Amino acid sequence: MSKVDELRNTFFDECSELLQEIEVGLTDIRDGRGTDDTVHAVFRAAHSVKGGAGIFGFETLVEFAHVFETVLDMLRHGTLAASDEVLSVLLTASDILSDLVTMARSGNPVPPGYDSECRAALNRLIGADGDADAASDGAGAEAAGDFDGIDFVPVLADGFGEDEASGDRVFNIAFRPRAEMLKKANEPLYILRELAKLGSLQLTADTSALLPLSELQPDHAYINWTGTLRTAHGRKEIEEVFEFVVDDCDLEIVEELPEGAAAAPIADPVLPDSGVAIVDDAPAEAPANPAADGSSPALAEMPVRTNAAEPAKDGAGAAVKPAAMTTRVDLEKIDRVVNMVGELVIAQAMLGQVVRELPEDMTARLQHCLEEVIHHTRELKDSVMSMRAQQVRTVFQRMPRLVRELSAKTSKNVRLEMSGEATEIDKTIIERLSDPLTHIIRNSVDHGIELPQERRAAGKNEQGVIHLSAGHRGGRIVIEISDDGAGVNGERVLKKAKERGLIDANAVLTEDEINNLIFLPGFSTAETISDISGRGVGMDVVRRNIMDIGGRITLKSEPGRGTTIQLSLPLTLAVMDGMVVEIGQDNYVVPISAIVECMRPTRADVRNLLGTAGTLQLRGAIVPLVHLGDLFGIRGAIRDVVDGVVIIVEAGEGTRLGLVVDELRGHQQVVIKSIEENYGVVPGIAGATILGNGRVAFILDVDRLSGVAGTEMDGVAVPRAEPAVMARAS
Amino acid sequence: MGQATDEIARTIVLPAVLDQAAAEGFLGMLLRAVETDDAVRLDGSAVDTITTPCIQVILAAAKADSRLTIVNPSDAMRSAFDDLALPLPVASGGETDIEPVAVMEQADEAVSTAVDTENMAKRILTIDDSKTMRDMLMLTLSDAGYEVLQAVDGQDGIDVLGDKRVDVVITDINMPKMDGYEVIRNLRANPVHKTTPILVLTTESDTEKKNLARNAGATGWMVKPFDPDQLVATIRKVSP
Repeated sequence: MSKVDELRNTFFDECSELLQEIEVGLTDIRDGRGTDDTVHAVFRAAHSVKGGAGIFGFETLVEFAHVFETVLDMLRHGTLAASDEVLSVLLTASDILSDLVTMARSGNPVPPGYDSECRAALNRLIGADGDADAASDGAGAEAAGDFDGIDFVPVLADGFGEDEASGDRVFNIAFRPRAEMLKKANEPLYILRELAKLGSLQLTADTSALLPLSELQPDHAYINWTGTLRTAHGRKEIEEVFEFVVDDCDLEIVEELPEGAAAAPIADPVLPDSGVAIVDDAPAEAPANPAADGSSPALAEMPVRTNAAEPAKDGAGAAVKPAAMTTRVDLEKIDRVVNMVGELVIAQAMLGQVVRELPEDMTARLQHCLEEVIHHTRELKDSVMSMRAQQVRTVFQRMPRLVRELSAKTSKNVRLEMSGEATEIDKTIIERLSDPLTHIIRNSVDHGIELPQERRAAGKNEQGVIHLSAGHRGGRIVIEISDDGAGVNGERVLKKAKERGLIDANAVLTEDEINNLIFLPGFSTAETISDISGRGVGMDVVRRNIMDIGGRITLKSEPGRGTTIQLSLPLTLAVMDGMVVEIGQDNYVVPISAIVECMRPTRADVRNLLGTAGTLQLRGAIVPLVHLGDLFGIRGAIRDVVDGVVIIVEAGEGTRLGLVVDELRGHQQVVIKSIEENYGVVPGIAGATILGNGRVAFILDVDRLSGVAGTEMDGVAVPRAEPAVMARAS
Repeated sequence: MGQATDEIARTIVLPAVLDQAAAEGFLGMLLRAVETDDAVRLDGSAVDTITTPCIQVILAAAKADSRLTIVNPSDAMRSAFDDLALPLPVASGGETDIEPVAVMEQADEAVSTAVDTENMAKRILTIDDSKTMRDMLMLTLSDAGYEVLQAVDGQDGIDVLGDKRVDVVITDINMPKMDGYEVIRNLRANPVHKTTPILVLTTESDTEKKNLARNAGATGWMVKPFDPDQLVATIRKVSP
């Protein structure tokens, strides 16, 4: 990757942070939580996006960011009030800005007119459309053109090229530095050398103002210069030389016109209309002309400076929250460390195995040391994992925009509240959280929150509230999405489920069980399929996604009061707690998170039903059994259930399975290694790991086992005495 | 070799760097030198950098005491006077090789720092809260042979710099903690940085902000986005 490409990546990474800052800031301001600092921070963020975009030449982005920034600047200086209307425009603008950044990043061209509507709205805030356009264009042009004239190519135009035909122009220049010039570290010597580079310079110094040595101020300027420059360049280039000092000196630049034009007055030449080719560029630095004091070009500049001190004051007070002490590390590097820590965990487990096999009298001290190592490894693992952890904020931040857009589309009035955004989860989980969350929130807005008139009729506030929260709970991350909408219509859900044969027509279910039916595949209660909630791909996909990352999803709903969906997620995907089990000669690993309980069944517990591998009577419920030995064709596995152990696992959709294994071998932290990456998908197997004895063990994909085992139990998947989903949530 | 003269002459070897920062000390030195009855000769052979403030001091001293002359001016010294169209007050006798008899007290220190800076790359401090911008500056400036120090906001800039001398400071305006204006005021209040060129780098292209920065003491300004060549050209404008 070239340095510039790297820089581009840095820019886009930075952009995502800045865009978030903008969105959070604007939301805070809208909700009345904003302070002056918030406005400043938002302004700075927009400003930085613009600055960076300029480097890489993303013109549309620069132009849009400029207009956006102009409005923010007005907000900052209080010339624009932070009304709801203004903030709604600004929030939309932040969305558009974000889109433009995405397009710039992917290299996709911006569709023509993509930002024009929003830009027009911003311009209306700035003031008269025409003015604003002019302002933005002007700034763009200035930004681009600011450097146009700095071109220090030395020109060989001395002595011999005296003849007029050479096209050289002659300027008489008077340069009288004022005292302040040296105080700003500007040096006449460097300026005059730059000037000399433009052509052939004849210079005279006037030292008559020099004070006696004893009265001399070392940082005052006492010498004046007058000179004649013969140059191929124009006035603009000369003015560029004096660009930084033009207000700290008296400067006269007078062009000597060629003989033919001698009629033109040579006096007072800095006035824009007196020179030959200076009309365009003179006004910008008009104060250069001492004669212009109070006259036309200078006047135009004056009003601009009247409130000059104000922003400085604001700026001085802009002590925002301290910048985090962070360093950027390539994710690949962290992933590598995570992998190495995984290997370390394995090696350590092996070591533990060896130590256990040694005679006990030899191992007391060794055991002690090993425990130390185990302790440190665990800490190391946690630290590395926390390094890869990201705040859920990165996902949450996409939601306000979603809610805004959806509420506009559905004509509903919805407010999104968020809390616990700082909760950290492994990056790999974060990445896969976005789709499920988006879907859930879509559902909430589309189906949950009622139309304003319905809410009014129900005695609720017209504005519906969706609350998105995240937090740690018992070693897992819990994300809750709750709305104060109509809640799940139990009757309708039950009817649908029966109609579609998802449950037995005679099944009697509890309220929670009914609510959780919406997670069954192919379930969609939307009366009309809208383009918001999509067609068919409903909550079952969401559930699938959450299960895939080792999470659980539960739903609670109260008719008329709203719905709460809870996602319980593991902290990481790289290492998990597993139960090592023995089947014949082989070891397998069952994720602890899926295990409900383990039992040694008696003969009385087991029933043989036709077409099944047997069932287990568990406190009145029927649990289908899966003989893993049969399923995977393992030799030497026990044949009779009562000889082995049954592990009751939750296998999704509220289904429970009883996995029949020979023996439990104990609980262990295992490092998940992908089989898919190296071999291919194996049904029923989620991955592999290396155990302490150095042997490879497969990790079971409990959720898919029932499908693999061909248990035809879906019809009785939700036994009445086992409110499966809720039991697991505790 | 040394040439005998009728009157007692005192020769002072000028240090390598006679820039604006050195002007005040130099002024004091010459004030003391011309107070004596001796004729003063300034040996300019070591002078590497000399700018207007010190040149003014020499001219004022020469005006006050016609016996003050410069001997052995270095090329750098000659060209500085030439480029400013100023007469170099060399001795009329035209001595070209006078052995120094006294060395300016300050000279040791000044010369030794000068030796350091001569072999070292010019050092630039960049202050910007945008990582993109910092990296871009780093890339451009280090390619151009500068040594680059970085700071992530105004306060950090002040902290990073401390009393270390740099050749140029480039600062953003809109920054958290301390904005660019405050940085400039802060630096100008420190005698060490009083004469350091400070360039303001900002997307603000309007006059108002330029003037605020100038009033705070900024030397010049650059507008983002910058072209690498133009950036370097602008830096050379204030610190060749």
